[in-house]
Amino acid sequence: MSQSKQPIDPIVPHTLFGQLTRRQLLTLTAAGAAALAVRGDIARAQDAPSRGGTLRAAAVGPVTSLDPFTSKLSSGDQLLWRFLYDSLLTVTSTGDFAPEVATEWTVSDDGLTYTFTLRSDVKFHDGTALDAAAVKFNIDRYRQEGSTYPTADRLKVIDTVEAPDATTVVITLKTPNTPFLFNVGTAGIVSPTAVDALGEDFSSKAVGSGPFKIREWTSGSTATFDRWDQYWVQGADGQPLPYLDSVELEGVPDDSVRLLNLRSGEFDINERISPLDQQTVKSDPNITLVTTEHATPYILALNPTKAPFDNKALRQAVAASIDRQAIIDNVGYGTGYTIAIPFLPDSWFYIDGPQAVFDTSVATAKLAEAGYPDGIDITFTIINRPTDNQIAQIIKPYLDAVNIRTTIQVLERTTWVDLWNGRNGEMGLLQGGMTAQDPDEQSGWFSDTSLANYAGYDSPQIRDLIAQANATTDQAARLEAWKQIVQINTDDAVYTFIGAVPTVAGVRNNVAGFEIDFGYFWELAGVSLSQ
Amino acid sequence: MIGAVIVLIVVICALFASVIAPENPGLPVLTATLKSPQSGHWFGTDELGRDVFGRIVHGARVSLRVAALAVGITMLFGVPIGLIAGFWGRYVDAVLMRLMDAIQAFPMILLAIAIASTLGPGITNATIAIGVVGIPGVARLARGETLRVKSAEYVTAARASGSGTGRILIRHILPNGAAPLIVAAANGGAAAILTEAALSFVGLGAAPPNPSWGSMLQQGYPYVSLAPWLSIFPGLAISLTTFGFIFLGDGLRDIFDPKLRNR
Repeated sequence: MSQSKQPIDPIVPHTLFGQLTRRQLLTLTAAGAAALAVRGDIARAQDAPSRGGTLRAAAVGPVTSLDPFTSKLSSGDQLLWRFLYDSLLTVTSTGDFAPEVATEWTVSDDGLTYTFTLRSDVKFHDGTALDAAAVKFNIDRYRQEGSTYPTADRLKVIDTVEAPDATTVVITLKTPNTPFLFNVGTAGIVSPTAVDALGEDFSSKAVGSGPFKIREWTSGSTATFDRWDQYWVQGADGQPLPYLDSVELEGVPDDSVRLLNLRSGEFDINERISPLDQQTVKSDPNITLVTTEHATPYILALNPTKAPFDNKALRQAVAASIDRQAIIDNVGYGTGYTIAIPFLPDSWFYIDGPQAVFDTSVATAKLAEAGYPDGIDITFTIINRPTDNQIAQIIKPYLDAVNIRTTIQVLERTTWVDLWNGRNGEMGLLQGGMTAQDPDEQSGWFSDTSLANYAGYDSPQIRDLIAQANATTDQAARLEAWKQIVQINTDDAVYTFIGAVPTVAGVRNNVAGFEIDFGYFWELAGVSLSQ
Repeated sequence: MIGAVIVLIVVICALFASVIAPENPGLPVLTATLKSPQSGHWFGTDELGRDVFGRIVHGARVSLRVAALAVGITMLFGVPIGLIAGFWGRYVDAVLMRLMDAIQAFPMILLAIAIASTLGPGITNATIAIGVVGIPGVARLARGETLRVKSAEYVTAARASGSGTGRILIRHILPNGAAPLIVAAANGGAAAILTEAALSFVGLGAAPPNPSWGSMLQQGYPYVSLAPWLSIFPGLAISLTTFGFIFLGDGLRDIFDPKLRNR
């Protein structure tokens, strides 16, 4: 967050103050004010963020719910959580934890007890206090039996949550779990009073304590937010944040539509500019490209739960037949890179290999070993999205060349998800998301309970390694465990991680102070618009 | 007969696609992506480096096959339904025509999408969907013609001379009411090509990498500001062919209609 940024006086060098009398200072300040008036808007825009205005933003995915608890994890949802909600901690752009509602936190030596000390001045949009009882309510809600919270899995490690007084929360774990601080610390805190009062309506009338409160949202429409005038964080001008009066967030899946509207000024922020469009946007003087700590990985999935891909040699034959570099060069227009697992290259836990190796002679040998010397016919199901379509059409000739005769079938997203969740797909193509937060973010591929494990990959060895990695605070040991996971995964070839394309946002130059944090949440409290 | 000329050109493209554009239209050439129109690539190349001209020529096959089969389905079901309803009248007419009304109550494209998504994506299912949505229109036309012709003196004469119902329908009524149906078939071809493009655009038509004009439009859409040729040329192919079929229908009507011919 940028609330700590100090305003810099444009006229008076700070070192002068010690030598000036009060009268002289007043004179100088008056001169400064006059000079400021002459310099006008430019100086104001740079030095003291102006207040007011409506920011219009376009997300790739639609908003599916304002309540993290019932979200389907659409990108539209994720972006707006930090508008509405505060969390115990935030993660800075360098990956460190920073205080938010929790002013400090301690972890016991055995790694089992987490104690958070809370601020006492945080209020929900309905006027009730955000205290320890509210935090306990939220954590219990997220982790309860039958929870629909998409990352509830990761909070199952909690044993008890206690609120001994209004500003203290004590959480005890069953086993030590290093990613826990991130998982619990960055969860949005909602108003317990509002959850009780609104019931199912909470997902469209959410009440949090963040810089903005919801004005209006119905499914499929633009979500509009108004500033929360009792927000506890102060801006550079000594007044409460946020600077903006309101925010409008719309889900626009089409890259070209988002781009055209950004260029025309209809949108101020565009969540994602496609790699090809980045080249044209670079020459637009009104738009700045913002590289984020986020990328989109593309993944080839083979269903190991039924024939023919319950055959490991056949899966390896597929992995060896495709030139992943050529694919990622094509869809990323030079911005992409191949990956062994969806870890960002500049994260501390980056692992670059082993990756699948493109070698048609290996592919042919593996195909024979699998018992298909004359080749095999395969159905390749993809979701109706331009990039998926593009990748599938590159993969097909590679597979055809080694006699893995492929038929592409394009499905609507829901049909595809049903097919794969029913474990009835053969070969499929997936898109994911990757940030630099923690390696555990990618454990969903290997979990037997995660909905993200579309192929139904079940490797007890990998699950043991993940449990082992999460139980230790020794990051080097965790990295070692993940290296073994990558090795097993690449050898098993259920998921072949093709490559990733970095996410680049586009921001109009009238927007100041825009940040995307480590968990890919948008921070809008410190954002201002120049006129 | 400009319509006939256009349709003939499309037919020639479809028949001799492999001669006119010998390269495999589905095979990516990753070293030649998104080239603007130039010699060697008259219509440029797409995001996978494939020649757009070649894909349009091969796409003519998909479009024409869909048009022919869909119109075939429409005629095969629509004409008999219209003949039977018109000839027997009364409750047969009422039941069949209310059924047709029910189908026609849906917007054509919506119904096609509903049928195609129920059957599953693919060019065959898309063709069936397009054929089915055309049935009510043809059935109505056939019924109208039957009503007009069935009281003609030669029909009464045929019945008096002992002809059976089937023989009267096929030998006397159908040939005398055929002209508007042939015109309708030509117009149906235009509608089929448009509907196929629409279905392919929403992902319910030809599976990649088979080139279909609609799916080419869909795949070119994200590049519309940077590589407009990916959208313009398939779009032109669709419009010109549709015009061709409509002009052909007009021309046929002029030929069949003696009043217009003598003018």
